[in-house]
Amino acid sequence: MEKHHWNAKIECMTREELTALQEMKLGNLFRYVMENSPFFRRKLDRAHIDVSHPVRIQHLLEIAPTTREELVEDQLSNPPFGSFPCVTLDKAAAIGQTGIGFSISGYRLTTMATHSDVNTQGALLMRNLWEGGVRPTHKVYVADDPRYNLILIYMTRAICDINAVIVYVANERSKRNAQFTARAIPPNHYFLTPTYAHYLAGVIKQEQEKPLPIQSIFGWGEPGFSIPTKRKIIQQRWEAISSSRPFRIFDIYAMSEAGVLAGACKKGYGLHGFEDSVIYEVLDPNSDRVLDEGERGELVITHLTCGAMPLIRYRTGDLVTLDRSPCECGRTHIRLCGIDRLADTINVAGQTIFADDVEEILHQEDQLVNFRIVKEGDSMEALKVLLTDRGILKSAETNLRKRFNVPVEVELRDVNSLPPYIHRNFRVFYPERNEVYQEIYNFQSTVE
Amino acid sequence: MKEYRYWQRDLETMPRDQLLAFQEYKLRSMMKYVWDRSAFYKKKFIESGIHWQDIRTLEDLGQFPLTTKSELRKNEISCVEQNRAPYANILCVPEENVSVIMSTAGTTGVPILMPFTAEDRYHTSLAFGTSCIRHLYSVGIEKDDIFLYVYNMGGAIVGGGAGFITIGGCPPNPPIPIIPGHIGKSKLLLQTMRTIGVTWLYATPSFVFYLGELATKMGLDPRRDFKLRKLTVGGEPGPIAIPEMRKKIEEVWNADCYDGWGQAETQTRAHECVEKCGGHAIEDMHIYEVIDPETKKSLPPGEMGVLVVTSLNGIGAPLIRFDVNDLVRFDYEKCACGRTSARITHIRGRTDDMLKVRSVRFYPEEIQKTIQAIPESTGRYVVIVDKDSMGRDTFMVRVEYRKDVTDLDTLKKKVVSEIKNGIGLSPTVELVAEGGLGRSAIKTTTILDFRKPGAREAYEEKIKLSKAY
Repeated sequence: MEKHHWNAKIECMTREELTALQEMKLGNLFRYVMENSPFFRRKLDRAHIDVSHPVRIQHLLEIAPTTREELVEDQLSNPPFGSFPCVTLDKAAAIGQTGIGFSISGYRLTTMATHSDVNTQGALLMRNLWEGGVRPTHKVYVADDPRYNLILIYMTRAICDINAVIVYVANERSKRNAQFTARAIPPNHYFLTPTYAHYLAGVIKQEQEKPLPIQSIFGWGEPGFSIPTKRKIIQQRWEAISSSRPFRIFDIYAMSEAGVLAGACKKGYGLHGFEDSVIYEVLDPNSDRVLDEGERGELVITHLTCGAMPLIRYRTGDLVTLDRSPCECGRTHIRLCGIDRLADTINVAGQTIFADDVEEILHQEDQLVNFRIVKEGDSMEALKVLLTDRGILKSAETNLRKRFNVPVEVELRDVNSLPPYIHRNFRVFYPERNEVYQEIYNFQSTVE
Repeated sequence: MKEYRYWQRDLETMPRDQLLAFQEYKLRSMMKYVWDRSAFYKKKFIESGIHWQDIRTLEDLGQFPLTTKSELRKNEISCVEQNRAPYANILCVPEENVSVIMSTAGTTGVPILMPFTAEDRYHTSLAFGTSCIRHLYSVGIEKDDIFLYVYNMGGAIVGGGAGFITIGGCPPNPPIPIIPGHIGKSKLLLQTMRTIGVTWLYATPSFVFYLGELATKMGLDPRRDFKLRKLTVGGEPGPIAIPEMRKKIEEVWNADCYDGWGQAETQTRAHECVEKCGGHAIEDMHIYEVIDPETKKSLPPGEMGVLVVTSLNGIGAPLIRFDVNDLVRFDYEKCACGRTSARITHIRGRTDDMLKVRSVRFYPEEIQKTIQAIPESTGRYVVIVDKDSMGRDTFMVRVEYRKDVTDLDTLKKKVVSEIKNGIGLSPTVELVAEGGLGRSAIKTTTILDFRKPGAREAYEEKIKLSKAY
């Protein structure tokens, strides 16, 4: 009989077992970073952590949270990797960088992974892949580009270790790949961003006469699958090209610097973390106060099994609610619910508005082609949205005003000034950074 | 003083007579292997009246029929139409043993989808497979090098392809850290190169040139503002085929440039060593033959002919006497580096790339060499062949000139004269200011033959698509 979970022994551990495991690993982590990471040694010393004694989760809370800005400053002072990694370059298997979109300073963190990290991250992803129906000999189309991004390497490890087949198509030549490759090697699963999923479904529909046996798609890299309306649209587009029922969408939550952090289960409420590898907390975004389960706050993570760049109490910049209530899937690991980017929240007339919620409203417009949510400064007087379709200006404005009860300005822009992204959606538009983004993200591909 | 390094000294410096004996030993095993397991090759054996036991020596191999790209393509299409995997007939292992599927670039037509097992990747030029590591190690890669790989054309195998990205699942693990890059977002890429301190870049020659130009436009000096110490190029004709190109690349980046020639379907490669005198073939893993393009008979050593490759190590889908379609010449003299493998010293290009204009036959590479050797040009050009209103062939060459060139009349005359001396045909020459011919990161288009049916429409569609972005 086929197993439900890739690793039920771990995925369905009791809370007591998980806590004991975490504490054991936390002790190992502390000793490891004390020995190898000058940056984290200083933090542990400031918190008076004594690694010669048994370690408890409470000890972790005595360590000051780590922000991305701290890591950036550390790398700028100690280029190129900083003083927080635990290994030297000769131990690294791969090097990557975080994306520019999520850094206030515009600086991208350089990340590193050892061979052991690749194994560990691959093993975590295997849980997600298994849950998503990936099985030996299944064809998994990896339709993302690797651009400095270690997650893709971890994903390919996971696919190999399940003995599925990697069909690497990147996110280019969509038409050619849809025309021929998909017909020749019918895909069972795709790994791609939600934005590309939206686009690719349309291309496949045009090129393929018959539905394909695609059972599921795995999305990562941006919010999308967690925004209900957008998810519904993507689901519909893929169901139209898939012969498999049910067709499922699985969200994978990962960060370039933190690795894989959570993945969806079939039950669909929240994403399961990997508590044997990561400790999850939420903090008040404006202070270091630890929030309770159920309260929405900034996700803070601590790696328990990372070799190259373990992070301790790392403020991810993402807002979540943690939920430890039992899941029908049988997994006992914490769930991360309602993930949204802190940087994408906008303060309008004293009210915090989440970009996900704005997107949710906009996606209700059938004719939506492209949009940007404007963020200027720390606070704005009105919610400002840029759209490229005159036909939806009025309804979009009305619906946004109804939903948020704040002044709303909807501006029409020429479609060429807001070209649709087909690979990733950088939905929030920072006018002061526009030039930087325009230059850096000027698409130069000749192969689409 | 040059340092000679070997990843597998015994194999790389094996005396030639032993190497040939080794090849024959492996050839016999391979013949049995494909006889037993490959429906495609079993059929070829039977149709040609040959038994696997008949092929015992390198000379015997010449009896076996060639495998052509169009055959593989036809086979692929036929399998797909029968709802079978496109490689079903050529696969030598159970389908569950296939680990990765990658495609060729498809520049000459429908892409060929090639299956690889985990063991295949160990040996191949994919993902730090043995033949790839030999190349990098021979030209000096060190543990503290930071290696940036920038290819990926829709997942094609070009330049080792996604193999570099699938290192996550590939044994052996790479011996050096790799940054998985991708063409496009080039300013970001240059930033990455500076921030991380990339010391080794692996890309196509086109992209290497393009990055250099872009860096300069950004106000950077490629020679001083980057830590690049070496470049390995491949994926399209490079310094092995066009020696003049090396100097230009090395001048731009102030870094050593080494070329690697590779072939996707057979996963063979030939790589330059520090002597830079041709690409060392991996003869313990492949047999290389050079045959006459017309008679298909083997040519004596040192003559220019069509390259034919036989896999000796392939597990998933080894190919026997695969007609690579490139015109090459080998040098069999032992290299100063100590390697005994034959070196590809000349690559003229694909046999079907040959152009015939007003009864003059020539290869695009001949034009490329000529243009590259003209100091006033940037090296970029486009050949446009068409027919005039009277149905006569027209032959135009557009050449990019460097921005510091002022005497365009003289330059034009020079270009006409050099090309005429090179191929015996006078072109109409149009000079284009630097940058005016656009840039392509990979597989630069240099020939537009509008005499071919559909060529003009295909080109216009391509332009439309590239602008749609």
